[in-house]
Amino acid sequence: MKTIYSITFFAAMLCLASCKKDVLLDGNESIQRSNALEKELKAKLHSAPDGWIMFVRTLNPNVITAAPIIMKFDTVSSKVSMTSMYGKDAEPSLFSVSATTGMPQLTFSTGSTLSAMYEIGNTNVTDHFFKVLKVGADTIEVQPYRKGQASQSEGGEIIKMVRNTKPAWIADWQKETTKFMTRQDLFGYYLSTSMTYANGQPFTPLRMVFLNQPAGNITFFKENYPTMTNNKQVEAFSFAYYPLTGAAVQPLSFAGYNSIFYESTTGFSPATLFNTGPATIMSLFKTNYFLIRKLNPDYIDVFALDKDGKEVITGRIGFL
Amino acid sequence: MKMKVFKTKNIIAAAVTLLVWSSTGCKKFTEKPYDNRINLEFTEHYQQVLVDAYPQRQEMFTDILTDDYQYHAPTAQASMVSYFLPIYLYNDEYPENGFTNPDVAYREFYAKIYRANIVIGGVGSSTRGTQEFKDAVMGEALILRAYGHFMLVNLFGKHYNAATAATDLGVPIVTQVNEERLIAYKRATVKAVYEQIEKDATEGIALLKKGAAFATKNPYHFTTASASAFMSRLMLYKGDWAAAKKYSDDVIAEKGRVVRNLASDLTLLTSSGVQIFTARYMDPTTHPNILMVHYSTSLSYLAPTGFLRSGFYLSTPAATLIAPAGDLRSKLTATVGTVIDASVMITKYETQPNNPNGAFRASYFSMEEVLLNRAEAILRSTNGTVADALVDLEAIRKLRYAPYTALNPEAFTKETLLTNVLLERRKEFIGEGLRWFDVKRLGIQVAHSIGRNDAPTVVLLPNDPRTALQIPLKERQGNPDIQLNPR
Amino acid sequence: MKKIYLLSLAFLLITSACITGCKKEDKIVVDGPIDYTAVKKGPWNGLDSLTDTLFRNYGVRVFYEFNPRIIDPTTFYVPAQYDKAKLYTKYVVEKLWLEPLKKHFPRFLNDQKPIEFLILGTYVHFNSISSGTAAGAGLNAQYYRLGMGGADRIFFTKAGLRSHMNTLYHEHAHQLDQKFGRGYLYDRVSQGTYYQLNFQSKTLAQANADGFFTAYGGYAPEEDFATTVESMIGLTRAEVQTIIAKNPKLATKYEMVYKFYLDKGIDLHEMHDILDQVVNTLPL
Repeated sequence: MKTIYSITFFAAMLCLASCKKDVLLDGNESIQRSNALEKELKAKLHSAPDGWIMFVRTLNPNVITAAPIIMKFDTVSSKVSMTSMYGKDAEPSLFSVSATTGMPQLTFSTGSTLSAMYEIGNTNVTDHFFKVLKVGADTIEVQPYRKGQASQSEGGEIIKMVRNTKPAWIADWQKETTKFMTRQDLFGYYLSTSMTYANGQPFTPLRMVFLNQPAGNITFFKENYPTMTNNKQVEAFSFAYYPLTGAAVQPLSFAGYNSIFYESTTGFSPATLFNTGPATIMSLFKTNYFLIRKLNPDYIDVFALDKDGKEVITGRIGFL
Repeated sequence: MKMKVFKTKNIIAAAVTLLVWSSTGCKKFTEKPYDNRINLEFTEHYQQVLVDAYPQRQEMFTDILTDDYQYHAPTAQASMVSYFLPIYLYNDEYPENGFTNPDVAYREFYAKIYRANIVIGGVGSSTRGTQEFKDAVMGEALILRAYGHFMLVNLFGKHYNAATAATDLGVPIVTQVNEERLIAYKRATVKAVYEQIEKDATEGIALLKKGAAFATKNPYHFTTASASAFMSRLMLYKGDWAAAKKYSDDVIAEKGRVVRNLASDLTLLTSSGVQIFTARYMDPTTHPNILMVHYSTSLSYLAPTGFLRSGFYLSTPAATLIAPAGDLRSKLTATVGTVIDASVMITKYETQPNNPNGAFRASYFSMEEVLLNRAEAILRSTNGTVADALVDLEAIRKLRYAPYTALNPEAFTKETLLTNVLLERRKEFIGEGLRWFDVKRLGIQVAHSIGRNDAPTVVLLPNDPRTALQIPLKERQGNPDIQLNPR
Repeated sequence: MKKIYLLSLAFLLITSACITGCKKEDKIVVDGPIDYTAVKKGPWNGLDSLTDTLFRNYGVRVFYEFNPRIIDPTTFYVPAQYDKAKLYTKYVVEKLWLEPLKKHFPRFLNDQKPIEFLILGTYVHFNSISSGTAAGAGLNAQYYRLGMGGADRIFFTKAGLRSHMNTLYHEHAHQLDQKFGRGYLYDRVSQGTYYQLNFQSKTLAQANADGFFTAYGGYAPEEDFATTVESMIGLTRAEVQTIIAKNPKLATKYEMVYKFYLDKGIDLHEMHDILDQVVNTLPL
């Protein structure tokens, strides 16, 4: 009888002691966590003296490259200055780090190179607010707040910003001091191209021409086209394709900071100039931009990077 | 001492009790109707039953399935849109709602067929009515039954295609009031349903003629004219061009080529405003071209398209079609939202543009449809002529275009004029629930997107299986073996 | 025997004390509601000081930087460039809008000013940033806030800013329309004759002849109202009189709008002259 009692007692105590602990959700922690992330983000942004590099990808499926934007953040004055194919140390714009939607957000709060890309469209920059997902030693993961359309769900593509550790390609890119547009001796002639692709794909030389845009067009772009209104260093021309047979393609192209690039947008017409034309060039070269390594007497040395900063296209355009 | 069982006073008491029991109106009590319902006995009772046998135009939700309508989220009322967006995207599943959807339509048409069957089954043996009276009532009921089945087979079956109609799934044919246990109705073929419809309708029209003295003349009921208009539509859908022309001719013989004078209607717009205009637009007393009209006491089947916040407005192609200033129908629109929304809605019903709590009238059949049926039938038949078709087309065009110039018959072949007729048909009946059936029979491809300039979310191919709406969930639950439409 | 029971009882008491201590009655700390209209944290720049001055002097808070809570996420836009936003705040908001109103029509400013003013770089798009021309010059679905788009595109010249003021008064007229209603009598004047989407093919002369101040005014009654205000701010009194002579409907609507504003404390014709004068004093 005794044993039964003791067993019963011990069993009862065991059950009682193993009660579930009710822990209420402690909202405190999430606020603290997000404040801590905000602080960490600000410190990280400031900690890189040479800034952070974001690689922006166009959504054209033929393109294998991504364009770099080097951003230097001054967290004291809340200013960010950007160096990209659009321009060098362009007029600083404002940014803000806040937690107004719970998660820390990096907002490019006034007009900038990045917001011009957002406005043009067709890139993975689909908003000017960015959710900060992770802050690491050398990378910051961000995500545009929206996908870009009212009927779509939240959250764009995850983009990685890497600390600028001064890789070799930056020095290469920034070496040339002459502006491309001054080389009018290359304009108006049939030029040939040769490209080497890191993935080994073959390239058939294409016949291209650098053409100047009529003055009227240039005035229009300067006043209305976001890439040029937001980036004063950009100049417009046409990186035209003249196939041996068939119609020429003369898209709107730009000469930026040691670069030539072209983008497709639906916000302007005619489509051949703004949309389908540039898209054709993108599918021919598999890139939407070239960084200019060197302006030689007869040709230009160009290259392009992928989203990890690796040089994937190296080539020459000119009298080869 | 023994008790005498059969005491005298006991016997008398028992006898009196028995007498009293037998003379109380026990039977009469149970014979009386317990909820004041009328025992259908007289012919006029059956005629009265038919007043409630006219189906709501529950097929009108199909407008959002067509290329005439597109979805515009910014001005859509969220609670309503959740009911209709799945239908717009050709989903077989959609939330329940009290306004309209394939399920409501299915129940509505069968409910009215039931009423028609009550009359068809009972009027023959009714009393206090002459044979002509009975014929009139019977005729009307038969046409109603035919109309209900016609709507059902066109909603839930593929369009009548002579090559496949004998095997295409139609709808259950219900010709009797069921007094047994639950019947598991089987779907008849499209061909069988059409045969039943034709049989009922031709018999109905014949009976209406025989009982002409007693047939209702008011435009809220089937008359020989509106019944013939119905048959002309049926024959057009069936592809029997000669019959379509014949029935159209019958209507014209009775009513003349009376077309709505849109210009004079539009004067109301400037003098009294759009609300008065829409209230009068479907008024049959002032519009002899309206052959039969339905009076609805609530928004019901106009919910997807009937007011400013419905979320479904004229598609850009449809709006562009009626936009030219020379077409009087361009005045039948109201702007929705701001100029950025760039949307317009049609204003033909009293709930439009923004009176969704009102009653309204919607026409079932109009002379314009009869004329366009006739023109199309003529152009599709081998012995039809362009000149003959133009008579009908011009009758309409004359009152729709200002300034009006007649079409030159020399400039048209039957094929090119047919394109014209179909275009006129589309423009005339925007927002009237007829376009879907044309989309089905003409094999028109429809692309639906949920944002302006977005890629289409869903594309309806010509003769897509989804042109036969799926049997509603409630029917499947009550009738689990019913054959479903292939997907 | 009893000892075991006593021990178990003691153990039970202790465990029950622990059990009751399991559930921690912690209050959830709820952070205060986020007030995004609060003064900007962190270091201020020149524009921040200016907006603060405007807030203190006029009660209108100007926004040129945004977070997703300020404008709803179904609206797509790009913020203005800093220097454009600064010029806009200085010249349009302060010099041309708030200052003249406070000086000449303080009652109107006090009663009808929106307490928030948003400066956007691009126009306001609603489906996606690439919706092309389907974009709004202003954002005014709320009574208390007025937003103007296209600040990056404005010509900061005397003529450019003067003509932008017409747009500003146009957008503000929409706000007053939503707040007070333009009145059903206003809509009756031209009922049945609005162009709707056909307005794009009408010329100014045609519109005037049909009873609208501009072709865009012929789109629908709400634009009719706002373009009447726009015309009265943009044209001289004499020019307006010439136009309303072309159609009696114009005269009727003009009287209604003029009175609507007069009742609220502003004479639109006077404002036109004041704006002309003020814009000439700007160092542009």
